[in-house]
Amino acid sequence: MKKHSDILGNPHLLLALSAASAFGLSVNAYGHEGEGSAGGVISGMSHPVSGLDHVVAMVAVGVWGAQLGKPAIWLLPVAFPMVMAIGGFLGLIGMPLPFVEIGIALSAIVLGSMVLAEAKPPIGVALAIVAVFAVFHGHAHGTELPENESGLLYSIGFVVCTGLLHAVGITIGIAHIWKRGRPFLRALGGAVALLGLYFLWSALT
Amino acid sequence: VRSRRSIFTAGFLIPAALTHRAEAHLVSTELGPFYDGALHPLVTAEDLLTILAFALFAGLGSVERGRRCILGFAGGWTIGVIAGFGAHASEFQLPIASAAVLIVAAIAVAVNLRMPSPLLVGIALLVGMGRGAMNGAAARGADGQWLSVVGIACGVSVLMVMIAGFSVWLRRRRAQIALRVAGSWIGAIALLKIGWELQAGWQ
Repeated sequence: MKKHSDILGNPHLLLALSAASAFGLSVNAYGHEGEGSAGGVISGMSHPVSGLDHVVAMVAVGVWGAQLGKPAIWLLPVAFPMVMAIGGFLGLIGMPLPFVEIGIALSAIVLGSMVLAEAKPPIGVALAIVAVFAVFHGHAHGTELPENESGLLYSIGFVVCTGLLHAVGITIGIAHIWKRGRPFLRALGGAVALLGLYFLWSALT
Repeated sequence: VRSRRSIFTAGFLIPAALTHRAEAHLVSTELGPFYDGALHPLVTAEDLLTILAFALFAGLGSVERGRRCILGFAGGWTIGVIAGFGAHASEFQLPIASAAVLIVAAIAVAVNLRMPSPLLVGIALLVGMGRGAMNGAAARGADGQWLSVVGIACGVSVLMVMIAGFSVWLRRRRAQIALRVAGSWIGAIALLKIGWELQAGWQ
């Protein structure tokens, strides 16, 4: 409880997280969104939420970060976009990365298991785990990016949406500070891990 | 109290009686290029991201250091626009170099890098000049280009001050990490931009 008291005691931060989560969970308003600059941003924002495998892994990163407490709660969301962009960069320039789909499935299994077990490895280990999987997620996005989009605007939408998914995870993960919230989070982690097993099965068959 | 109310009433009524027609149609004011310039940083994603990165960086340090950074950046941008008028647009369109600079600035925000004030101002000045030169080269020969310089200078300065001010406000409310996360996002966007540019170059 004490560990997280600074988060609960900061109404601005809570408000920002709630707003970010609301954005992350909202659906698109279809007002000619395909035209001009907005098309690139909306298209980029749609991409990370178009695959359940990405969504559960991003949310799990946020939840695990919240369980780990400071400084991981902030370090993981700071590190993830940068490392994911390295993967995206490799995908964009055509650098092949083997077993991408398997890596993404494993990310859901591992991150879900970490949340399920409330695992608290050293911060360096946690960062390394997240960074490795971020490369796979980024690479998959990088190779799937559509043509004829504004690269910069698409990237803005894509990165912001990924960050908002982390914010959703962190907001959910704050339930960790309540006694009754912990089993809920562990169950959530178990569900993510099970989904990961399904993704792995799909990738292998 | 009554005399105060009278003064306030007179203060509103007299200017209201003396006002002129509102010039809603900017063509007649000939201030169009000024507004074009002022809005330019808001509608150009590359410019906006660069301003955002430097404004966040300015807001992360002390207020004094932030002010110098804003002055250096906005001043450099203005000088760059004027210098850019003398160049061809193609000479100053360097997307990969711009994105690389943006990555460095964004990482500096993400890791909350501390650097001596003169160095910070120097870098802000140089980067501002670079982006400004690209603006100037693109606007070269346009009608009212000198008015657009004033507009760009105002637009960049106001944006910088607003974002840096918001950053300071966040920092003082223990939400500094939000600025660092934003830096990480900008860096990621810039790296992906380089990937897009390389991909487009190879195709």
